Amino acid sequence: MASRKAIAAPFPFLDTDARAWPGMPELTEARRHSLSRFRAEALPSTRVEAWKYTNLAALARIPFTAPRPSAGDGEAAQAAVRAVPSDRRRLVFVNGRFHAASSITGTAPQGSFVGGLTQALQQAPDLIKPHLAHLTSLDGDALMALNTAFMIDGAALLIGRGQTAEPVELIQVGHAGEAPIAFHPRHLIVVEAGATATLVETRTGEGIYWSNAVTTVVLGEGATLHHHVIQQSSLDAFDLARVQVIADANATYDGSLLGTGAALSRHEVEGLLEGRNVTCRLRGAFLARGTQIADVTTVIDHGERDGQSEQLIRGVLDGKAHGVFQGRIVVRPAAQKTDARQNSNMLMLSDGAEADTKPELEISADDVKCSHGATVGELSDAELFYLQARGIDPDTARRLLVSGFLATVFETVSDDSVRERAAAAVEGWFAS
Amino acid sequence: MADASTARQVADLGDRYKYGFHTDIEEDRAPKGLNEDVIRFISAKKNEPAWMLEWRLKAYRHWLTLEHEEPSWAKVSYPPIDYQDSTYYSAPKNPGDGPKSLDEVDPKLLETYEKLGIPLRERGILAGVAVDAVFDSVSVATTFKKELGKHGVIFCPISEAVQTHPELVKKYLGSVVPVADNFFAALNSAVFTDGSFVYIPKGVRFPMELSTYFRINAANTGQFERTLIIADEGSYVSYLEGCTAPMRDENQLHAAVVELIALDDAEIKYSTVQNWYPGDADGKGGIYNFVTKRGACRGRNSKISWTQVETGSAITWKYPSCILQGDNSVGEFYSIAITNNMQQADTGTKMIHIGKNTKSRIISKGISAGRAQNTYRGLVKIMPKADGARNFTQCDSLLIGDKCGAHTVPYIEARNRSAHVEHEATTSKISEDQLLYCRQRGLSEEDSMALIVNGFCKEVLQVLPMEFAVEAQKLVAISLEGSVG
Amino acid sequence: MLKIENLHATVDGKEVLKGLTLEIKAGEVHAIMGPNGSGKSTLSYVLAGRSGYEVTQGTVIYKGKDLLAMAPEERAREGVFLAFQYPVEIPGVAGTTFLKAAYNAIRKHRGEKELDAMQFLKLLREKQALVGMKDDMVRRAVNSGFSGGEKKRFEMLQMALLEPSLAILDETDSGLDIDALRVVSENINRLRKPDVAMLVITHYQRLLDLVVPDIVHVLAGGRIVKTGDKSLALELERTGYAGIGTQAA
Repeated sequence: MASRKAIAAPFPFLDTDARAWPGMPELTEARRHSLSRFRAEALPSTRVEAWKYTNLAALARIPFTAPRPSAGDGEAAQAAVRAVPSDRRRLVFVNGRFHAASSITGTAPQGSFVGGLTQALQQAPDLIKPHLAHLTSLDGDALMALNTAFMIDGAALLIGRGQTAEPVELIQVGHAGEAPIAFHPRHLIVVEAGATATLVETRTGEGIYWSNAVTTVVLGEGATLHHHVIQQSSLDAFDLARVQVIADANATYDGSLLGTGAALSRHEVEGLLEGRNVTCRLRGAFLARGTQIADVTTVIDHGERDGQSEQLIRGVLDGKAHGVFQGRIVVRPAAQKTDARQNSNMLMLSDGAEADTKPELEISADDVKCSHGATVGELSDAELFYLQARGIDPDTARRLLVSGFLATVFETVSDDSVRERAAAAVEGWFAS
Repeated sequence: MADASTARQVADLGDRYKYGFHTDIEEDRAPKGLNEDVIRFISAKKNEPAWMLEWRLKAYRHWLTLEHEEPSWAKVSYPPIDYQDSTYYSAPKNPGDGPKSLDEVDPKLLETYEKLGIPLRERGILAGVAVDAVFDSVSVATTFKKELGKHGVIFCPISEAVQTHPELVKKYLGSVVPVADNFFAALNSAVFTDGSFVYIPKGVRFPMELSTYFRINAANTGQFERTLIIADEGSYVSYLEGCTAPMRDENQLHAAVVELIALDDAEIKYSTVQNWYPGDADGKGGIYNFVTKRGACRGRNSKISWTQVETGSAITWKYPSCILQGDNSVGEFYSIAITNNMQQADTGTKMIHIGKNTKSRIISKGISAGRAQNTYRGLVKIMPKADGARNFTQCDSLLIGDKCGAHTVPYIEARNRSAHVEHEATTSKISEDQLLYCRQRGLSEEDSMALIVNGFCKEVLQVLPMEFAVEAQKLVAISLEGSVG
Repeated sequence: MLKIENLHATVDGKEVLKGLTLEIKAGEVHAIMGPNGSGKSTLSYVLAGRSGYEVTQGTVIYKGKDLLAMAPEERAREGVFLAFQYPVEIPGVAGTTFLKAAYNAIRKHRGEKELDAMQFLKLLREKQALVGMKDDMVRRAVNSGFSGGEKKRFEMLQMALLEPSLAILDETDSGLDIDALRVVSENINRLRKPDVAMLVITHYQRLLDLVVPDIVHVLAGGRIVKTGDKSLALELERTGYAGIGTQAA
């Protein structure tokens, strides 16, 4: 389509067959439909409001192919596992495909499933089927369509009514050889009524790859999901991740992101608070340098009354990095007594850095409390001086202040190991 | 100080939309529709030099290329406008070349302005306010010529300035809002009929308020006024603009362009009370107010301050902006936007920081009632060379009733490390507790509401010139009538 | 002055007042005491006309008129003053503006001439002296950023200014230091006149040491369970509410 709103993207992998899924005709049909939709729409350009600040033109120029299993996959998986300091259950994916040999799924109680999505479709179709509509949905933008067309696998975390699940590590590795590859993970997280789950996601990798992930989170009445993401993808990678949360009454989605990797990353959360009294907490922190582009985009859609949402997003930009935060709070007419708060702060460490922030309120109910605050600025001279006056050298002082700036984001994370890993990732960023 | 005429002006504000009368005056009109001939007609009517006509035609030809570029990003909706169904020039018929003095002005026109509370006769004029009044497409009178002349201040209809000060008009017209800037600005550049021109010479700190009242009277006309204000080095001027229109069932287009230029150490304070007819309670009729206002702080230490009270119009699309080019220059935007019934407003500002140590401040108060939609949309942009740039933005929205919407869409784009940008926004409603507290002390529900809303708007009301502040407070109350209970 | 009979009221569908009967004559000061949740604040809000407080049964006659039929501002203009337990902040509205609007609304209602700004400020200064409020405090936005004690002083200033014939003081003594308590009690006592009635709602005896009531009621479970003279308050102080059969409701 020759529209200024689209970037033509004739990726070689588009010509690989969108495989039929055995026993799942709906899925096969959705894939076919989605593929033709992507071909028609192509990639969104910066003329599309949602992509105003993040330009995908560089992505469109790369001849991505579909990944093939290779000999090094096992070693890459093992290396990633070793890097995660945890002995919890884990689901390991290499280039979007479940790597059973490196994974520990344990035994799930009746009504629950922890494993790969293809595996789940075969082994526990009855648990998946009620949520199939989320996988076959034809809604969403071109990237969502592309994911539906080429999804092969992803994590399946299904927690039955009232159960409290042990935390699960989701470890994803991008492993590209000479040729750039693209893969499209599709994760399905279902926490049924009254259940509680924790998912800690780590993304690492090497080479030029494009991960175009979609995570669907379905929360039943009173369910709780703690969902933490540590994104340390290859610095040559494109890491696009969309999390769609559909929450029923009294549910809680408690999410965080710490991102340091990827040439271009976008972490997108769409929270559909469909039931009453839903709580949604989002925290995001990213560090970027060189020519990295880091984008956090959120939409919290309050559909029913008494909901609470709280967002705190902080970015640190060095070199010629470009940081983006777009955060929209929507309050529908029925969502009276909503309490929605959002804060974003961008810290610029260098002259070449760019920060773009677009917080948005769209309010259609009157008895609400909604606010956002946004700041952009550099480190405070007064604070730097104070530390220096106590004998700390400027570099260390800067490091301390930046670490503190980001640590605040994770203060309310209850999982100690996540807080520690986030802090370690920040330290690692300084050291690299 | 407010004198007797201000008091009368305020007392007159009691009715729902008291400006909704129509004055029966013989009009001189262009044929309906828009084409090069109509533009030539307008230019000929104004006796313009060739360069001015060329300028208009250039704008028109560009506008034609924008056929599908009518802005669609604002959160407003309206049926497509048929630009051929409007009249682009309508003037009260006047023998000869127009009035030389107030005595020659059609008494009916003077009467109209009396009704509006803008007495043009010098004896009735508010102390210290020089007024230019634009009726449909032409400027009808400028008061206080003598006082202006003494200071060397030029304050006249822009059509006159084209004749008398072509060098200034040529140099500055379109220099802040280029003809190709946007759809409505291009249209305005092609067909603008009149407006005010102000030039404040070097070092003059003009003590009077300059004021223009705009009124749309004729049916099926658009109003496309063009205002150009130049504050030369070290000068100061405060300029007030008021707008009204009669009640009509059909929508009328108002697409104005205002350009401000502040040179070194100059300051321009521009205040607007916009009370165009908003349409009836069901959204029938009303003015489409699609306006491009922009100021350039060209000089060092210059300052441009926009203050607006937007209560009228069916649709408002307006972003008075500042281009902060000069080092240490300052831009300010203070806004109250009230929408009731079916009104829609999408308004805000752009602050473009280019020079070093430039500062901007944005205070926006949006009030939405009835089934109205009210959007703040703003951009703060810090360019790479703008070391030490500062911005503070506060956007507050107040919702009255559960059928309306309040939206906040700020864009913050920073390209310089030393930038310091702070943005805050809140949305709330008038609490039952606040209302009860006021009513328990004896205030009626509507008075309580007006009091609370005026309190909410205080930071903006207090930067308005005195004459306007009184009127604005009343307007706030009137605009919200019928929104309680 | 005020005659409440068999008053039943619900809040959020829950019945809080369950048949309250009470009569206050001109010149009398009545105290209502009672444990938390007994309906004390509900009574004050019902008398002021707050929305959401629904009267399901009973009557309230004030100066021979049906109080419940009046809008909140009509009640105020007729002389009913409620000193709020939690005075409300109104950002941006200067105290002087607010007080003048209220004062003139009441004067107008009485058919008296409204005061102009100068006259009003003069009057206000006199009243300020009574409660010890400085000019800068009354020029600030209504209750905005006021401490608890300052808010209560401001309530007393309003009472002194508006000169009501029925003053309802809802826990005006709560959270006050000894100085502020003195200001409050002085102002209440100053208003004690043969043609003024007062209803003092409180939790503690200490205010009643300074403002000696003519009659003390114990409110429990939404109705008056005991009535007596000032000694009842002292008895309550000694024995607590449990001691006087408040469980009955």
